[in-house]
Amino acid sequence: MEKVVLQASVRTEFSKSGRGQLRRNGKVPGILYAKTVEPIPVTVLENSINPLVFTAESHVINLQLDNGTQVDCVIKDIQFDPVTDRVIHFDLQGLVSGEKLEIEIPVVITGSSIGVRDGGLLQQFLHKIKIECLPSDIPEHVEVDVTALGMGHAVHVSDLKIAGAEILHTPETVVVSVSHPRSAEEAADGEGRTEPEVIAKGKEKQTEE
Amino acid sequence: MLMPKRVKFRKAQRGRMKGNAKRGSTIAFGDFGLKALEPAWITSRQIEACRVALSRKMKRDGKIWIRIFPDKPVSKKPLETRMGKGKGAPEFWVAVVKPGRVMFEVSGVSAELAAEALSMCGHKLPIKTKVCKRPDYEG
Repeated sequence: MEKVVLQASVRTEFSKSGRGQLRRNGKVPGILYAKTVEPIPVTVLENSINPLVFTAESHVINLQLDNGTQVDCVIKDIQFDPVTDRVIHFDLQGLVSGEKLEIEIPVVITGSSIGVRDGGLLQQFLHKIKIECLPSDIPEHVEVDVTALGMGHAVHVSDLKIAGAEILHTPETVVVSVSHPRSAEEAADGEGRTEPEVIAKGKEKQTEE
Repeated sequence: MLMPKRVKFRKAQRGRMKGNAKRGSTIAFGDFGLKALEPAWITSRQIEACRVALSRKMKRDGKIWIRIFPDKPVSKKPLETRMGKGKGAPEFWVAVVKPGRVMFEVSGVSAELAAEALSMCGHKLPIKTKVCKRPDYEG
């Protein structure tokens, strides 16, 4: 997996208004933590973090701080603005060589399924897969080939093989399936009802009985 | 139309719609979604109109998720009634939607068709909306 260099500066402003000011200036506040070091609050340019967030690949980041420190890390968590969908905060987890870490890897679907050609509907249930692996074994993504997937069949977590990594989902979890298309327009729930039933209070129930 | 099967109380107070959505603001099931940019009460009729519009535009292809549910009863007094004499009868059901809430999601169709269908769906609603996609979506 290739390393991506990310320039960052150590953040000294911790107030809410200070963070707001940073965001208005096209920067994103974040935090870097690792097992061996104290957490370091950082700031990066929004333009430099966006390509690492809005992608179907996972990256190992070489974070270069303005005080000369270089840390290898991965994105652990991202917070988005609920309305604008802009990145408002990120968590970076520092990598410790020889120590396993938990990370979410994107699932990429390849091929054209037989079931879809027969009129089925391809449904992806798991977009990211949680794995535990060494920093050197982190895959960019997990490819799932659906070419042989017929109507009514599914790919489960147990069917996936990731070299050097342990999948943390239960083996029965469905990753992708081809289901039958909707035959008729689904009738909306509650058709024909005018008013819902009122749940009787405990005391009233007892008196009724 | 959508409405609860059972309720604890027939009538509810109006409440307030301050702030942004605290949950349900990310796409959870599909690839594309319709996000509210304003607060509003979305009625069950409007939700149904959106569902029909999406379903027709997508020609029954793909899958649709409705992420809001009208669980709040709105009561109304009959016309030409004097004030007082208690709260009116429940008239319709609404979902309380705050800015940032993903109301509908779709998958299994092209990005162009999804955007067209969702923007059409947005025209059925009394609020400003925008079409959004999963952060890791790569067509």
